[in-house]
Amino acid sequence: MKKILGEFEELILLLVASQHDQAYGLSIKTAIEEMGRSVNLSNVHTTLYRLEEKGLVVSAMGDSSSTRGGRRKRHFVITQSGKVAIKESKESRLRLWDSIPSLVMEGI
Amino acid sequence: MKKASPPKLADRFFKWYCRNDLQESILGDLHEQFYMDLKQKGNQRSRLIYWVTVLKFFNRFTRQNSMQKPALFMISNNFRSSLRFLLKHGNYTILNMVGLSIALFSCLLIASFLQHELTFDQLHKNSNQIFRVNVIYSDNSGSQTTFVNSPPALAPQLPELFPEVKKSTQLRYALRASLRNQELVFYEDHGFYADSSFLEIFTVPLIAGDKKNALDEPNSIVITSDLAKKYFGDEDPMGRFITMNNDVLLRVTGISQPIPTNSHLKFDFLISFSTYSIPAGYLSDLSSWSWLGFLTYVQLEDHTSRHEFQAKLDDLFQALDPESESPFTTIVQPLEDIYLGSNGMTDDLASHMRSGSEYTVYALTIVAILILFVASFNLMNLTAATNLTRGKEVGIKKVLGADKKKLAVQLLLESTLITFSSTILAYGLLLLLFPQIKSIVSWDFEINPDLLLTSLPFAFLSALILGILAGIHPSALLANLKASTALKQGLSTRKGSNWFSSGLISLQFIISVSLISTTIVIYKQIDYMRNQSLGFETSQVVSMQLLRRDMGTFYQRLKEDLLQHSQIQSVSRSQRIVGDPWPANGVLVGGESEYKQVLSNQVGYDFLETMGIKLKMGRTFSKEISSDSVGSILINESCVKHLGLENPIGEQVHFFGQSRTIIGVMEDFNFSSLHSEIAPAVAIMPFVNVENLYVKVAPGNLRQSLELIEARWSSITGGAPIEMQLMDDHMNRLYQSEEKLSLLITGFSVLAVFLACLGLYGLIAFTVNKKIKEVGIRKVLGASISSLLILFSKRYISLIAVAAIIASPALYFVLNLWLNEFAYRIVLDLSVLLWAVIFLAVISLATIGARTLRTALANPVNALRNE
Repeated sequence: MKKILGEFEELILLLVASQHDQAYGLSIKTAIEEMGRSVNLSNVHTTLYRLEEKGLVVSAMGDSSSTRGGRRKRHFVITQSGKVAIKESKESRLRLWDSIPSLVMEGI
Repeated sequence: MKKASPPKLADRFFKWYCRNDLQESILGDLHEQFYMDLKQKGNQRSRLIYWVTVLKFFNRFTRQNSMQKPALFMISNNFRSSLRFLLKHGNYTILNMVGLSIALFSCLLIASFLQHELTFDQLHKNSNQIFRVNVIYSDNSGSQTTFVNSPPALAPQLPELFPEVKKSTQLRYALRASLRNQELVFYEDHGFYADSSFLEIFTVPLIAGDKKNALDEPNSIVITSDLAKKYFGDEDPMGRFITMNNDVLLRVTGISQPIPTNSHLKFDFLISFSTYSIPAGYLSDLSSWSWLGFLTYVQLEDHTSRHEFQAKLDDLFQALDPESESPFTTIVQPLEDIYLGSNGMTDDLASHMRSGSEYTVYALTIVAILILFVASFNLMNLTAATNLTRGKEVGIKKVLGADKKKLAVQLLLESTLITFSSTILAYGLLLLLFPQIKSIVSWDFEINPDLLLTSLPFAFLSALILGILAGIHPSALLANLKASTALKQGLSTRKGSNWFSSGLISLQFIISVSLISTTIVIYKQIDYMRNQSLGFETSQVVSMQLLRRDMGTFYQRLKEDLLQHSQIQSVSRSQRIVGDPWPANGVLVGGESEYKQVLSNQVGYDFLETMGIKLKMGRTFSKEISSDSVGSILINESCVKHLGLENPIGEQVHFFGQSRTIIGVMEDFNFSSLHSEIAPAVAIMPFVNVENLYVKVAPGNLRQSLELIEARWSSITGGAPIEMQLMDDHMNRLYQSEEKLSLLITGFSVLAVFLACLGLYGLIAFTVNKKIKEVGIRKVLGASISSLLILFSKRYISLIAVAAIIASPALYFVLNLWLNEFAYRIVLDLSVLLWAVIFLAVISLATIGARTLRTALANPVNALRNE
């Protein structure tokens, strides 16, 4: 079965990939908020767990810091099928972009 | 400054629900975020965000494993084993359910009655602004009479005199009237003269007609849709004519919806007040301030103090004659209080208003609570008793790993299951039996289906509470049992639980003794009242209420005609029927300056003979002495004392605008009910056409006599309607409210005692079953059957004795309070209590005996053989 990515899922998957090795719940939340979009930490976590369930990311416990009260982070890394998923979604987008007649986008 | 940190409680909550492997990383993120937020958003906001996030984190990824599946499987399993247990103890389950559903049914029944009684007159939109002006008349001797009536001059002036009066209206009872549409003619007893402001103050929805002016024009009538159907069938009555009393032509200007049963005013028609004309012979007119013949209702502005308004009204009456102290003071009575709060008030017009009794309301509330108690005690006792046998079951469950909480929940589930199904049964019973019960106790209301629906959640909530209450003791006992003890020796009946059940049983006995003695006292009181000598004889008297006009025209001819027949002994008439309240008036003894208040009646010739009232001295009205018709007066013995006369015969008094000579003294007789003392009363000859006709018939064939009267009346009047009643029936109706109360209390007492016995039976059956071996051994050792019976019943007999001792003081107090309502009452003595105890003891012993005897008579071998 082909896994269909939701918009938010795709966004998070992209962020996991771009923050390679350093991605964890709060870092992704901060990154989304920097994009001008507000989001609750729990939504980010839940989506990450869902992506993990679908096999698109894997997680491992990592380092800690003092503000965390000595608690370790859970780092997320994109898997092979995760990479395939974002690549496919990018390509389908590109195909759609290509099919837009040039005059539609004129003047932007 | 204290260092800000994430809320501890939120952390604890999170740790409670979150699975362990995710806890560390999420909590880390949460804390990190908190300190980030702290810099930008401040402590309060960060804490809030923290809490919201913690709450939002609760989902299927984070939940603890054990929480992931709701315990559906366990619930269904518990349910099944509960059902098995209940079926195994089928007898007790049925006993419990029957008892409980009967009890709940009684409570629902009483609740629907109370709902009706307590919501009287609340249907009017402005009910909290509407008041009735009652007038208290005090005479010089200090005796006071409270009238629901007021003088006709009052109502029209109120809005002008007092700014707080929004609107005012007055009613005049239309007496018995005959209404006629062509061939259809009936007597109607429920009608008032009223003006349009009546329709504005009270919420009386009109189906047709305009309430602003329907009652403005003279000769207008507004009828209820029921009456419209009666007289006009399916035709449209609007604009049609109805003839009242064969005299006045009234045009139908409005049709109202039927008046609900929870309204103290009961009417089928309203005639415009401008139609009202004062009957010939009356000395007052509509500007009178002393003629208490009208009902005055006012609608006050919001937040008006009725006490202040009442004080202003008192001043108004005082201002009429500043020279002397006014005999009139007022009571401004809220509309919603009228129905239950008008006991002891006199309606000078006997205008058929509904009035209820607070006693009935209180009594039934208490009875409902008591019944509920009895049934819950049964449930508690039986649940406790049957659960004592479950030691082994619980032991095995514990060995198999059931935890304490779940065991307790299962046991609670069982008792709740019983209470829930009983509740459903009770509602079924209510819907099924209400029509029958309604006709037995002559209630005139219907169950309100909306209210029934809204009561459902409460009923089930109470069922839940009741179930938990009943189950909590045994379930705690069982759940805390050690598995090894449970398996080894089962659950022993500990001293504590024995005390508990003894306590419940004695409470039940207290309730039973109280209800039985109350029933006995009510019966004795009613019986006493019935058998009191009233001072007059009604057994062969037939009374008829006829139209004043017809009486004026036909009375003499009818009397002469009837007296020619041998079975008619005498004929007379009076203004007010004996038994209805007599109007109060002032009498002035010659030489004195102050009027004294007495009750009065206008009576025809032969009145004393017809009613069997004895003369103490003097003579009665005589046809031979022409001055009697205006210048003579009869007084009763109380009146002699009241007026302070030494030699009453021949004294001159001033009464009803006329100087009159006292010609005779009547022996005291109870012309109204035995609730009140015999009041000072006088009788004069009629100066208006009076409407009550009495015929005394010879003993023997009553039916024939009634037919004769009807035939003669009909032939003389050319077909005017007639309705006869036996005076005995009329007098019995005076005690109707007591009889209704006694019927209800008796019914519910029987139920309560029955329920208590049911519980007792269950408990005894259970005890006997457990002691079957003991009985066997005792029999083998030579115990007699009677000694066995005593063995089982002595505990309960002593409990009954204890109950009687505890109950008696409270009972004595409450019953005396009720009896004090009556001027003629029985004396309370110990015999009532004694009878109640004997009765209860006999029933209980029969219950115990019925169950015990079977065991005691059985062959001991059967009990002992199987081991």
